[in-house]
Amino acid sequence: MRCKSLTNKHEEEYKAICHIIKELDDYSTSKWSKLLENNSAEYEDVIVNHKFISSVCPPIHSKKVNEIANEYSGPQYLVVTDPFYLPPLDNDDSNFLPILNISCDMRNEPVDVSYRVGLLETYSDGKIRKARGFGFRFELRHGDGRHGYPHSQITVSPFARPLPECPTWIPQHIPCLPLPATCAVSLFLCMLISLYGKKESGKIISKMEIHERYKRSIKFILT
Amino acid sequence: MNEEILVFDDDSNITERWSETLRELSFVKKDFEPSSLGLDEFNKTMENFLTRQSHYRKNEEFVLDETRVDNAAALLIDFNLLNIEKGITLTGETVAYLSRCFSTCKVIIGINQFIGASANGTNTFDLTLQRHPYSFCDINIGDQQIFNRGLWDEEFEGFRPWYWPTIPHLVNTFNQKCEDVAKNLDEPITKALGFNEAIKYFPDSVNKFLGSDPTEITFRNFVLNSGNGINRQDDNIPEENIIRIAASRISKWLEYIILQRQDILVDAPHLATRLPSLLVGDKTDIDNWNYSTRLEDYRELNINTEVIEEHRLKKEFWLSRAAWYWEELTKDENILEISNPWEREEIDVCFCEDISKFLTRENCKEYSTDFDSPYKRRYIKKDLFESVEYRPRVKLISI
Repeated sequence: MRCKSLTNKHEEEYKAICHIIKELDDYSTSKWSKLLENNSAEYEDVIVNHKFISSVCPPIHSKKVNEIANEYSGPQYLVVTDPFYLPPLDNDDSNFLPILNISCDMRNEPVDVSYRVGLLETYSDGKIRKARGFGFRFELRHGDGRHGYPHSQITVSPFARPLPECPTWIPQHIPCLPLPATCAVSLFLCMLISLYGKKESGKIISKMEIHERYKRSIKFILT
Repeated sequence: MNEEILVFDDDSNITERWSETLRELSFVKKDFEPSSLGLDEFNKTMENFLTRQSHYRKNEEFVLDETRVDNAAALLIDFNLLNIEKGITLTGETVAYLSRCFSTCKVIIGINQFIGASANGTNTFDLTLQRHPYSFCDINIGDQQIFNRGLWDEEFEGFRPWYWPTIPHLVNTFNQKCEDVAKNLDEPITKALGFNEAIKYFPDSVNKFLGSDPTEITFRNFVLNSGNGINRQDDNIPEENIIRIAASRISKWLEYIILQRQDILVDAPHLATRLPSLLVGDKTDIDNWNYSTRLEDYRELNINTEVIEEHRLKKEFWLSRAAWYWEELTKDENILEISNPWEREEIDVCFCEDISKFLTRENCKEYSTDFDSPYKRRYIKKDLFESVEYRPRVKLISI
């Protein structure tokens, strides 16, 4: 009985994550498409960065996202390693292109969830254009040890390939910033808030029809 | 003896003018014999095609009465046909449908179907790059464009949209396409063309033309059941007609829906822009870049094609230019930009879609097409041609 109720609990959570990922992909695709239509000088840097990065790390196809994030496909396990372009950033760091990798394994207890975000931009160095980046990971608790709480840390390797020009001497285990997340869904929302801020992430989240129970732990941020 | 190109407008003066002008152009007459189709002959031909259509629909045996259009390399047909025989309502598009489905004409060229409102409305550049894939014409142009050398030949100057195939190429490869379809009539189209499983991830905008699951739909089923082949009432046609329809329509799908996006297949100039290490020679020499714009043998494009040979679309006759599978290229660590993605030489040239050539960046204007693709931004010449109507103009507004 205990296992069945735990499984049902994660089943709903897993479905919610799949739904959010697909909604976010639609939103992001639409935002990028609109941005790429813009001829204003304000977006020149973002567009140059997008052109550079998409020519070597093209964004994952939406249909592939739908296939991977299929809540009815069986085991509650999804991995996205192809570049998932998050929506364009809308702040002073908007020249960075945020790319997400996901590993979400809810087949066993405790669940193992990690969202890794790489922030990439490019710059001109004489006749060479170079990329540079920085990464963060957002994870649920790892047992009861040192990182036994939902947290975020810096990482130089959010993807398989290390980020360019990311200083490797920086600590990657500390700071291990605590997050007000209680599950995979609220962790995902924390990730969105950290990148898009309260207002913009509020807009994104409100479009997604997420059950209130997943927003309970972060309600104090959104209100 | 050169193959015949038949020209028809419902105004016989215009027909004569067009065919006479074509006959005088060296780059046309070296390969083709342009001729006028008179009004009477046109009416009889259309009656003939309508009769064929009727016999097929009723499943009746009949003896085919051959027409000049059946033996023509190409038919140039104006869209507005008001002065033809009383009682028959036809547009150029209907003629194109009848000619494609019930004749053996190789190429159908539609004139003035999609034109602008200005004085240059029959010399348009489609900024969306989406063109008109659903039209049964193999190519749609304005009457001012009929005599553009870039439509007939590689040696051109000035305005020449990159999305144009050349008419000789369309004519010369039609039979090959038909042979390929005949061999693979009941095979999935995408498999026959060499697409891998990645096709199932392509957007609906790409696959909807095929009418069904892109990994399963065959050439035959596409023609009979997709809605973009034959009309349902006409599905009782012989197999050789199905083959010709498939060859023409799938060729158009590839050329206008697949290739122009440049994110499924990519052609040489766009490839060189994204992966400049593949360009052979001095990257500061614009002539080296412009070799990649030729519509010839892929080995003559000044691209290091050996490194990327396994990713090339091998059935090159299906497209008017060499092309490679983009997704496969982005995984090939033999390409410098893929193995070392985080730095590259800045290039100061851009490929201009309206002149089919590279220019230095300062002479180019960037804008956004209508593709749902990460590579929707393209370039045109900064100083627009005064004699060309760029449509829709809103795409050139800087906010």
